[in-house]
Amino acid sequence: MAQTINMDAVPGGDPKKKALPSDSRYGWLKALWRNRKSRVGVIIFLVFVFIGILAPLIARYSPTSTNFGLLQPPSARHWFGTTGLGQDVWAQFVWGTRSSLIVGFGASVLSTILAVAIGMYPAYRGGRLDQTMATLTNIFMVIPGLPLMIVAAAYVHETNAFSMMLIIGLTGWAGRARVLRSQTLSMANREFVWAARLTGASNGRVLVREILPNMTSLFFASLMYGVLGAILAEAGLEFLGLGNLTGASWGSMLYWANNGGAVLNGAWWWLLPGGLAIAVFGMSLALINFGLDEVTNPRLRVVATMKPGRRRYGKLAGKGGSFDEA
Amino acid sequence: MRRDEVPILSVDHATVAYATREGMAKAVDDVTLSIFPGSIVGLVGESGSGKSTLAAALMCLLPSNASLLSGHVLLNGKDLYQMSEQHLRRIRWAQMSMVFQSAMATLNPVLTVGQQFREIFRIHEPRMTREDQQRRMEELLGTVRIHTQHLRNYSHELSGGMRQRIALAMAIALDPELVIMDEPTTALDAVVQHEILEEIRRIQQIKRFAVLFISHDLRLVRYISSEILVMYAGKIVESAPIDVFTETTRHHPYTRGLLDSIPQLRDEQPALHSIPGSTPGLTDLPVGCAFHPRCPYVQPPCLEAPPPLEGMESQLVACYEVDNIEGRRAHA
Amino acid sequence: MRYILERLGFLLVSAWAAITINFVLPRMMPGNPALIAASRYQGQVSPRALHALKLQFGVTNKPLVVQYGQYLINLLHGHLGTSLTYYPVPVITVIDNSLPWTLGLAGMATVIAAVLGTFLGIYSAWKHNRAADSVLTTGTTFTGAIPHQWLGLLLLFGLGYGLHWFPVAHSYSPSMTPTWSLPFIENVMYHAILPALTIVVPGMGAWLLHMRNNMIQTLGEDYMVFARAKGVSSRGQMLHHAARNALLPSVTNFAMAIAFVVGGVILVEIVFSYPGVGYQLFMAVSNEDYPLMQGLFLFVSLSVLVVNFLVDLLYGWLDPRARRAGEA
Repeated sequence: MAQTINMDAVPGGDPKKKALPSDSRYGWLKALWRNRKSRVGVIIFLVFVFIGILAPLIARYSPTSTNFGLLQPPSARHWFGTTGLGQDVWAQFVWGTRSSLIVGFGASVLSTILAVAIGMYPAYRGGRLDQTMATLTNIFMVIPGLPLMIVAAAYVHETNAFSMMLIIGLTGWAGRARVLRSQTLSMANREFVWAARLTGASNGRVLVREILPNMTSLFFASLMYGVLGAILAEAGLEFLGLGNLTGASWGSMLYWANNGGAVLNGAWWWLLPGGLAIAVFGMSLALINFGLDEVTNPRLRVVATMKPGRRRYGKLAGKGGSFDEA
Repeated sequence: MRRDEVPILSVDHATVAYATREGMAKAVDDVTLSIFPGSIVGLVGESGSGKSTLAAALMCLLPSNASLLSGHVLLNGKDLYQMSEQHLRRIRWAQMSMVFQSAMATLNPVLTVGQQFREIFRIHEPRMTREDQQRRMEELLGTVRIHTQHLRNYSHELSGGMRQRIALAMAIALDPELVIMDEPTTALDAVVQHEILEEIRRIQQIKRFAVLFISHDLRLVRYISSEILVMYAGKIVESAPIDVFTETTRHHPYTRGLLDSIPQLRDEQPALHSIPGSTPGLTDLPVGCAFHPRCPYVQPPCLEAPPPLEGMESQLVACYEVDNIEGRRAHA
Repeated sequence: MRYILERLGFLLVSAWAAITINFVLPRMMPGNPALIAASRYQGQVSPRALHALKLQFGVTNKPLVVQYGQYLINLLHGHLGTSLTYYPVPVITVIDNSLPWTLGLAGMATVIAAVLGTFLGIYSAWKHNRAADSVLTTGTTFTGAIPHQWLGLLLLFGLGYGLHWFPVAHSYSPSMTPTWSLPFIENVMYHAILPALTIVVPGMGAWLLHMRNNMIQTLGEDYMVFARAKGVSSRGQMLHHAARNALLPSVTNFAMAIAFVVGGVILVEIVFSYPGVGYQLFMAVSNEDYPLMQGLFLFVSLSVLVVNFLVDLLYGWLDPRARRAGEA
């Protein structure tokens, strides 16, 4: 994935560097910080993580306490105002951050593990196992996810954070399994993998030592998309009243805002935080992935363009490499 | 090169560089050459020597991270890099066209051969009727000996040889004065390669267009060209008419290496020599003569400054030691 | 031809999978749903209906295989049980009344999102590395993560209750009778604008990004250099040569896009009380109406599978390589 990409653009670049991707296997981490977009993403992401971790210190009130005035607009006492039930919206947002992130990451870790087990491992082994798993993946790709989760959640009567993670994690792996599969297939045919095989390394060793390290950035992307998908799914389930609605989460804030008449009462402060938190957090993940994409796909990269002064006719991106392959 | 005729294309001290993270990489370094009507100029060099970049620069098709830093490219006396985009679009392909390395990759996979053919006429001869286009296409396909039914085909339905013939037909569609051929036979197997080469020769004799034939294979270049240019690390290191090139034994050490690596059929014991080392990366070119790390005849001046391309009569060589090579080689 | 058969085969296999999931899920879960529903609706529905409900959810001594066989036979006859929410209306009737609304809304929104997103993607690739591209691509990172229900509520808040520009609920005015007349169709369209917009905005970004990235990839191909050399204008290069190629991988992303849209439609229908399957699913979940829930899930899944099959056929028609490879 993360070869020394800059050499691609230079004809006659040192061929040895292409064959040894280990030089910069983790170079993408540095590149994430170098890329302006993904740096913004990383910062926003960390802010949310800190809000989640520090929830007990910064929430000021209990998210479930109903001791405050109803539908009060934002003030010094209630930064984000109060709900129709007299709860503090800031406290709900802060605690909701914690619980949404936990469910998001928990479900994403689970579904990423499934995606690896179903998409990647069989692809590496090949044969009938791979065929079966590929078909299974394709089926789960086309069966709509949210309805499936809704039905599953409706049968589990007492939903809590853990069952939520299970339901979302078990149903939301297919798309990423497919991406991992195709990447593994192309990776398994790279020269350095063949080289490792020819030196007599065992299958398992090749997978763990040669292929996995080169897919770290893809894992990372997969995990990130999983988190966003899981948070959106949780919010969706909670909007139907499935899930633990007594606790605070971004999704349950939206549920109560809808059912408590935030729209009718003009209580925008009640309506905004939950959805905005999801969208901004999702944006941070997408920005990080965006940077990751540009790192791993040289053609999407911002190529260094020449100083103006001389007319150029070239308008195509990063085309140097393939043009000079003799 | 010294003739009374006016060249179709002349390149005057052209330098092309890529912008990279490590800085400027000069892929073409101070290249000067002229192509005269009806001649076939062969350009030979290893991959990465800058020959394809040179071809792209001649066609004004440099990628956006590369540009012509200095020098001029004149087509029929007009500087291509001073032209408006509009003007350039009109004369490119009409006066100078190109056959790319891989016709598989140069034909658009979702358009039929006919659609892509017609496009040339639509752009350059908008007044041509559909019937005239058809007649012209059939005539051109006849020239390259391809059945007209293939106009309805997509590129993946054709063999490599057929694709390259079609690319050739497209290149000569507007009767250009010069056709640049960038490794036109490299992607083909040996038999088809020979066929295409013969085809190029035959058509060139009928149509009398000039050719810049680019290849990494000195045998092909020697076979087809009337004049040979040898390129190494972005520079022309040797240039000579074909008769001089074949007769003389006085060559640049790099050319020497290329010649020695060609297997001789008549040799009792075919001894294959290859040049030790590899092409240098363009961002860390050696100081002095770029070939010196691989050169068996290296002398102190070679490490100081790159040798100029100079010589007597028609052969030009960029090497300080060229006159001493033969003697020492016989010794060895 | 072989390509079509292959896709048809996949359609059948995935339909079978959806049908089987529908059978297995309630039997896998702790606490039998039929018993819960039975105790809740005791006295409200007839004993016969309760008995049928128990049979449907496996409260019986018959082995699983027999139950499965019975389930498939019922399905073939369109017997999906009786809705408890709308007792004694059969589930199939509820589906029949709600599915067209959902398909219409989702279809319209998907097409708008795909067309708009694709064109913006082409534009973005055209302006690659310039301000317009940067604004568009960064914008999609935000719009793509917007929860449908939230955007729906915001639009309802601003354009519905706030400015009174659009109706706030239902698929047509209660004063009208459904006919194929122009005023009625106009009324339906008017009601569909906000829900459709709610689906289009978050969905568009994915199309935009796919198309942009595919375009940039395509612009680097040798045939694009060839087209430029031939004198094709930059407009022609973009639309005639690059866009057609870049569109192909975009089409394959339909499967994911549809799944996303279906999820969105369900939430949007709840916000706007739009009488489609999403709203009915919400009713079914709220009322623990398991037969209705099951039937809706099945029909939503089957609809998506069929749409995907049609998209596959479209892909085969668009990509000469896929088409010919099947025939050879």
